[in-house]
Amino acid sequence: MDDFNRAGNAVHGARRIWAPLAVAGALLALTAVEGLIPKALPAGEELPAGTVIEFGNERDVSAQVGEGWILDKDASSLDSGLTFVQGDVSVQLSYIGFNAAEPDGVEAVWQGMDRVFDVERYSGVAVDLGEPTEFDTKWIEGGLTGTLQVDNRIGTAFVLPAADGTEAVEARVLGPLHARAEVWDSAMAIIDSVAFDDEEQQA
Amino acid sequence: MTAIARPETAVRPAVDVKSLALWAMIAGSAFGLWNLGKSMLPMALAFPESAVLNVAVLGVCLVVGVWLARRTMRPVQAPPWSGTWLALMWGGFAACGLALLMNTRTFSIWSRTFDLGTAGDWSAALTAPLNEEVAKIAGVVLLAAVSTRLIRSAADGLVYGALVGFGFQLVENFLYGFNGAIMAGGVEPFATTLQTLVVRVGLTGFGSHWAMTAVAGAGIGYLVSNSGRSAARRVWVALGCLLLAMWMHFLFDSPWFDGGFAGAIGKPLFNFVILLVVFFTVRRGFRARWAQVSAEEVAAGVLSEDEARGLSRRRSRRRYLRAFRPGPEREAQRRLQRVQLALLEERVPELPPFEAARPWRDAVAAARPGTTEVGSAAT
Repeated sequence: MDDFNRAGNAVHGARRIWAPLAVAGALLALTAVEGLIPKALPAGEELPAGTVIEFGNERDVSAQVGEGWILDKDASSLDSGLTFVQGDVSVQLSYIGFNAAEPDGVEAVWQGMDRVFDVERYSGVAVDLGEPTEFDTKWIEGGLTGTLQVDNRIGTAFVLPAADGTEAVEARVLGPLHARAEVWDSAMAIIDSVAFDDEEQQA
Repeated sequence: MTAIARPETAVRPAVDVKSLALWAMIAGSAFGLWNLGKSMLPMALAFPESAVLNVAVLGVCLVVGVWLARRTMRPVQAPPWSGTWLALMWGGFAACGLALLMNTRTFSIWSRTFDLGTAGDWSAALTAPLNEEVAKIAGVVLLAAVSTRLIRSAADGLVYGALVGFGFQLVENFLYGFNGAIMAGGVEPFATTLQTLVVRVGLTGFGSHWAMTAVAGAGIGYLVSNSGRSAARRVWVALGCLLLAMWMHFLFDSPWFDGGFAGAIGKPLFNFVILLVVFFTVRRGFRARWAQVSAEEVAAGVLSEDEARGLSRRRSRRRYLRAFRPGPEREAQRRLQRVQLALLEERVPELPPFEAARPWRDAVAAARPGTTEVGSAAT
């Protein structure tokens, strides 16, 4: 008996061929169009020297950039962090909120960062994080810093904790071995500018 | 003379293994699983405690959710297991894996178009309703093409939509469980994953993906069922249901009413209420049609009034069977119930003429205890 014509479902006969083809075609077309549109749009936004951006869940963390930095808009979000690029050098600031459980000291935050690097290591990226040493900035005390190498890019990693221990900024500065010294200095100036609202007020 | 059907010919496999749609579902799910694996496997290896917690919590959710969906969302009887697993597979692997790819691309469009603040507030609301609802509902359309027996009414579309959405929700929660650990800088990953799961399962889960796709799925069920209604009406209803599901998703992800009770409970509650309205509308239509075809079969002498009354609910079917002695007698009645259900399910769609169900009536006659089987229905 003709199962397709009597079974009470309109997807029968030739429709059983073109319906799945149409579904697959629609999904492929949507994916392709969504992949093409971003290529026609600028990926970054050049920032005027002195630009201050506030980020983090409550927008209570700020960072200031010097001359020549471009905001990588694909890799940036006011909630989770910002990525700035100048030539081959990048500065990535990640906001970390400890909502579920506060860390047992800044060393625990450093170890957590190393575990996040494990995700990249298991993805096949070579990541080498050095031993941490103490690090203070103009606004933040009790931070940690250490050397960082991600594939063939070298640089420095930082953990910058808030005074109350409920949040932190993790930063990575990465670039090629022979990047210009003034760009490294400018990248370090961004790290030095990171501040939590309460620290700015205290200062 | 027409030969009497063997009962088993009336209860056919629900999935046609030769259908292109089945293989499209398998291929889509394989791609999705590969894409998800690239993201999830490194996270699972880096945070094994989060992975174990995810598997434990979401495994329980899978068992409870599938039981609830199959037990409550379709009147009369649960959908076949083959269709159930296909729906979960598409939702969890194909739709979620595709959405991961599409969402990354679409987020890039919004981040490059808007300023950081606007993109942060609106990207999810402008992205997920389109990509995720389209990816999920594609699974319901494919299920309708896998076999003519899986989706024959809006009620079928609703339950398969819910299952597709539930599969999506489970795998998305799995991903978010890891994301929670990463967003907390890898500090106390077990606690952060637990917190993420409590919010996404305990607080918002009751009005999330499963509810949205159930609404869209009901529209697809209405579209593909042979109801005798005009094609234009069926298309508009299906489109309306899809747009309603997208609106539910948009509202869920938008920054409107964020924070406090409205954000945590109000939005999923709103979705759940919409789902209930659609569910009871679909259920009423299905039950009315069931009562109509039952009455016709009683009038034709195929079912007794007692049998027809007992068939329409799971509990009354069990009660009816308990009237027979355990053993061969009750087993024969159970077989009879199965072919009677197949007959009525066959007649729920309104278009086929009354006579088209003749082989199923013959199968009912053949299944009655004491009847001799002499042939097949395939005539």
